[in-house]
Amino acid sequence: MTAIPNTVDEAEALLRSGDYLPNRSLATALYLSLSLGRPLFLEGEAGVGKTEIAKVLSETLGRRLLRLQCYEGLDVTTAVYEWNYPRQMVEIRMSEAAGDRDRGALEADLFSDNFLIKRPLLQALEPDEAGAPVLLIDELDRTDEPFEAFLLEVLSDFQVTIPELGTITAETPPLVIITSNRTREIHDALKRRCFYHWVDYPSAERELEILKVKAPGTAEALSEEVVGFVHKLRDMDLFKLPGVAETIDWAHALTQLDCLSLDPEMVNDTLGTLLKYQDDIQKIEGSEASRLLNEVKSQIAAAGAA
Amino acid sequence: MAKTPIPDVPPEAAGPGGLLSENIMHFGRVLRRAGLPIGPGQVLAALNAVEAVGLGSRVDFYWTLYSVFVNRRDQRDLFDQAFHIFWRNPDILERMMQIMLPDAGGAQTRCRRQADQSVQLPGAPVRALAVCLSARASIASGCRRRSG
Repeated sequence: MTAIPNTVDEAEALLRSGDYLPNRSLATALYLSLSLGRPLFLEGEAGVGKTEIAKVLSETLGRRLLRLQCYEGLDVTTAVYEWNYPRQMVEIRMSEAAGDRDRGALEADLFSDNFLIKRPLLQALEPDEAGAPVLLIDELDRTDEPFEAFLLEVLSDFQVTIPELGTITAETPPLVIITSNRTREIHDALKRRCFYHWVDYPSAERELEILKVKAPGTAEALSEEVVGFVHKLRDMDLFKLPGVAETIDWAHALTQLDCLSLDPEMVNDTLGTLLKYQDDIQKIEGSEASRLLNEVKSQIAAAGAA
Repeated sequence: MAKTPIPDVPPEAAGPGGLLSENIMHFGRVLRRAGLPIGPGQVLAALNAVEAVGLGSRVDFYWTLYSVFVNRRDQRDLFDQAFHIFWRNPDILERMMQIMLPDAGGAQTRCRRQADQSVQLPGAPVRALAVCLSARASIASGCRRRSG
């Protein structure tokens, strides 16, 4: 188990040890979040590696990862806790049949830990042998505002009140990572309690580095072409731009096909790994793809000659 | 959780009056007047954060303040410009602010007179910020209170 980093450099090294290549800005925000015990708020386009940060963090620190996937209509029973009604009913029937307990004792038993189903937010408040867990609240923008308000309360005090049991407070607060795809603006009150970081698409050099780590089998020349092509696509007006995840997938796919250098036909055949919408694919397929590819190749040749 | 020791602050920054913390506070106020929703809570958080990270490098200092003061994507440019002007020479930005965001009682004439001076202010970022601020100032229509 690794210790919490003590400097920004250590935070950067921590993520690198988990095969995640952060920029300085992310390392700073992560270090601050870990050392001052406030949530880290990550915003950015889909596929730039927001969720991955939490996974890498839990792996490298050896902490448990608790993931709360947000969606519209998410409520307390799926996010915090729920009483196990079927089991409670069975318990009542059994107790009736046996006649072993009086009313008060039965009631106390029914609302005890045994009949409580703990959901991620409640689990995150419980003490853990390995240290406070990593709590990933994924795609917060997909929930509705009432839940956001509730979350605000939980994240500022790290406690939850269950009427039948009382208030449960975390001894050591979990390491909270919140992500948002920015389909709507999260309220300022929540963001104020967090350290903010905008996760951008990586620069070409960094993306090449990422490919070396994540898709080590890819030929170097091919990696350069892949990154160059993806960067060209990101400058275009598409419905969904390819993220880092797509770049890695594409490099894997091309390597599987024993491709050492891109050609227009190969690009057309594998475009589905990069672009996920039919409209986008139709727009790029064919002449546009070969035009982009020619541009990329001539740029690489020019850079090589210089 | 292990707390990092308070870093060695350069003597001119620490000073007897804690010049650095004062400057961070002023920077927060400047950003607030430029339209970022920054309250005393965030200024305190910024002080804590700078203390935790230390003053080893300007890059880290930048990203430390960024992670506290910025919380929307569209605030990044404003922060960037304000940072580079303020932490080179806080006075310039302060003067800019007075020109572009006059207080409610501020005479229009003074505003106009100072606007002429703004032409002499150097640097492209200053002008970019001025454009940004004048747009905001027209929205605010002079009903802001002056802080300072």
